[in-house]
Amino acid sequence: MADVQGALAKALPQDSLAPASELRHYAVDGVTPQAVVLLASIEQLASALALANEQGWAVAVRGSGSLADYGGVPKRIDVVLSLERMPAAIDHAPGDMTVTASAATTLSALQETLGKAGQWLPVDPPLAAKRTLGGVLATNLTGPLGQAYGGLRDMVIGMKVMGPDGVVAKSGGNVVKNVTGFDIHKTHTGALGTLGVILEASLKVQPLPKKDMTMAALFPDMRQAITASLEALAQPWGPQALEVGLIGLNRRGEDGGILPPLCNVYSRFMGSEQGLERRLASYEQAVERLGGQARMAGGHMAAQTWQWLADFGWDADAGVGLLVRLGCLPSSVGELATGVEEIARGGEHQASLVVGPGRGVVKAFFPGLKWGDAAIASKAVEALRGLAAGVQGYAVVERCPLPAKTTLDVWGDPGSGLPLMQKLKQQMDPKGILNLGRFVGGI
Amino acid sequence: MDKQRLIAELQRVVGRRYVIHHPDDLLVYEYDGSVDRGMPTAVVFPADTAQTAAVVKLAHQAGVPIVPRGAGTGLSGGAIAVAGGVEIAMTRMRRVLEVDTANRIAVVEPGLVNLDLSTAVAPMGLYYAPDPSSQRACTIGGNVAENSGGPHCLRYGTTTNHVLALEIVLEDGSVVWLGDRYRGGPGYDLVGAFVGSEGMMGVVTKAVVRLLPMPESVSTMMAVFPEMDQASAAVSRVIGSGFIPSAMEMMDKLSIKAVETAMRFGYPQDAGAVLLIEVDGIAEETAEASASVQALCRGEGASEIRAATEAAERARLWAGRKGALGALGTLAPNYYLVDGVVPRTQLLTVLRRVGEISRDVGFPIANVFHAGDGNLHPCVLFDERQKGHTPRVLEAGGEILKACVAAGGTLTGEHGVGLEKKAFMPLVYTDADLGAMLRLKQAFAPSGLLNPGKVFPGGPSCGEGFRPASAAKADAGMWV
Repeated sequence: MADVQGALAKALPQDSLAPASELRHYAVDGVTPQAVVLLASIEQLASALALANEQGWAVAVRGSGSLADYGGVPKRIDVVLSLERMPAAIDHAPGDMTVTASAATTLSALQETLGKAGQWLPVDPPLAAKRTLGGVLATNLTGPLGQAYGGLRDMVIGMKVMGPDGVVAKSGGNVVKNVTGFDIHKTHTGALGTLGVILEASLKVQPLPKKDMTMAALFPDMRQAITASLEALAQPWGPQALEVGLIGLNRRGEDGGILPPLCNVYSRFMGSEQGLERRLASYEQAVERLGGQARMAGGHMAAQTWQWLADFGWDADAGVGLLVRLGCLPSSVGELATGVEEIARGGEHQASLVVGPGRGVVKAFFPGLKWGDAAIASKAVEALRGLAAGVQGYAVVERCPLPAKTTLDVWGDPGSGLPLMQKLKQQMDPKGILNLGRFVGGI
Repeated sequence: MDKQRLIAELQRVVGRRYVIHHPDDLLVYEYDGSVDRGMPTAVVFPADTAQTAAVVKLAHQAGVPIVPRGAGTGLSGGAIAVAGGVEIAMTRMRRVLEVDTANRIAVVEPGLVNLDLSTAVAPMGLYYAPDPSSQRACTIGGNVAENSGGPHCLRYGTTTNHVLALEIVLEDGSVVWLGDRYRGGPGYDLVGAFVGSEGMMGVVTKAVVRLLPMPESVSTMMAVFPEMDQASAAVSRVIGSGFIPSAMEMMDKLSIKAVETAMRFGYPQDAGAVLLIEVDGIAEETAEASASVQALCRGEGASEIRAATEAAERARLWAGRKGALGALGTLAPNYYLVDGVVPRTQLLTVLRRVGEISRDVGFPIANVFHAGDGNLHPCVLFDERQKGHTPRVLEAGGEILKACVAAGGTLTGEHGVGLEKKAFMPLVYTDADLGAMLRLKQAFAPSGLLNPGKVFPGGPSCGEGFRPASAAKADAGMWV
């Protein structure tokens, strides 16, 4: 393998290359790159990419690095292109309800700017507080707000992307209604950088809700909680976000006995003053009728709770473990979540679940080092995939410790569109240098 | 393969009755809702996915262009067989296959008329939100191809925000499903790439779409202003107030005059602009939003405000707005409808520029527009029988598009690029931009036989000259 460091040093300013001692900090799933470049401009990025493309180097792109391990284990990484020094830039047009920002802009800086004009991007991906816009777009993971607002995919109105040859192409524009040309930006959203490097995105924003309040409810068991939740969600006054948490399965107490898990339902209501009065009262009544107990969750605690729910499985406190995201239609969520609970109980695995019945998502986190054992992990993933298949759903392994992760297909079957996806990859990245082998079907 | 053999093969697939190939019969299919035309070799009406696939495969093997067609109401030339070939009309495939009320999903065939979908699911308290103005005639398949909008897309989004999965026939005749009944599964967003691809990537044979619950309460308001500036200020105030209306439409002085002459709607004599605003949601929030909107309009100088929550009354308020296009016939024999889009805050600036263009070319221009999302529809009024009118009208259209682009907007908000605007693409996209879009298309359809001559500059175009829309066509329940 040619001298990657040497070739890059000739093409870029000297201080762009991270010293050899730092390389391991940029490892992805234990795979250390041969070189890391910290790019400070579009021109530098273009030089680095074009060189990598010419040489056929395996490239990984990095924003904050918070979700660097999301995706399959890389076979090799020749160079990490870090965007941590790229300039943040925000161009907010409050009257148009649109904003354009560079990929390196953090989501929190963006929300702060929008907030000053009474607007926001109603998204809550995992670790939102730390991440860049580019990373959030490339991974396209949704949180509880996805139920009412969809995901970033429905908010992006334009994008600039750099191809592996260093050439920049844009699609869409700066207007909320646009059918000029094809929506390539949709393919880049959630593509893990395998089709190009996102440089900038334009998005449509929303007004901040006039009132935003959360209620918590306790139910005797998760199945009942989910059933009650689906009924509330079907009402016109239903909450815009609702998550059921089943926390601490198979935890043992001091006496060695298994402690019961906690089952809480968190519901977020957004609207006007009068609207909220009715929403909250109706919800409280419905919860009582359906066998639960409801209470208000105060402002600061509510914000913390929603952040915790969005970060579930990815937050630092989670530690080492297996995090699987299962998805299906809302009407099947009860069956799916109960099945996951049974798998956990059957194997006596410690586990916690966060279920979004309205958005059809079950997230299961199994803490502990034992999940680094390939045999144990693959057995569980197979069982979970079988469950998901039973409800025409899917199961994606978001996190898994090594070495087990190396043996897993983290994505599962992407469906009959795979040949088209492969053709798309060939068109956009003909030499196959971008995040090679980490996406679905080995793309 | 020679033409006769191709026709015989097509007849073998769908039956003789469903292949139109006689020149006299083909005349109707030379047109769509746009100003262009192109003569197909044959028009075929498949009954199902298998027949669609077989027809596509035949044409592909014969090296002949394939042009999908819905109701043919498109305004940019998307269904025009500009390079000849086989038109595949999907109108026989128009069933609602399945409605999943618990998950609010419908599975439909591409030839289903847009409004018929909402009508079919209304008894279940559901509706399909994207409501293009031609919804009494246009089809879901066409909506997918053009990523159609409508007045209610201000709050609820366009077609792409409501399509979950598509069964499509690729150019080689293979059938593939894109997407799932839910979002979030692994892989590239191929559905997102396909919606709005103007029939160039595949032929839709089934669509899985999201349905929304009908709102508990709807309030429609019509506000009349002496001056356009005031109406525009009211729009900004409403947007800034934190409520997102479900629709916000505007009409200018000339279109108001036309409607008043044609319909005797009851607008005051001196009306300079009319704003139609709709809000919906739970009863309390609708009432609050409605009161707020009315106060804001009054604050900006509205001389008259009418509001309604009951269905028939609301329809009456909308009637003035919906009658605008048809009413243009009282002002001139012909109109050329332009579709442009700008950032919302630039609307007034661009409208003034449209006024200048109108004076420069010497034709009146009536404006109706989706004020909430910056999508404008200047209608250039003229008489095609008069020598020299037609080229000047086209020139005006081009100038309006340039004005939109200069104001930070783009070429088309809802009608698509098609034939009409492909020459203008370099105004907004570089060669690199267009190259990337071409590569996306190549991934789906490399042969270039699927709806050739659309979207990308160059290539075959309508060489037969301009055939302007006539006011008569607008009478058939169509509005914009």
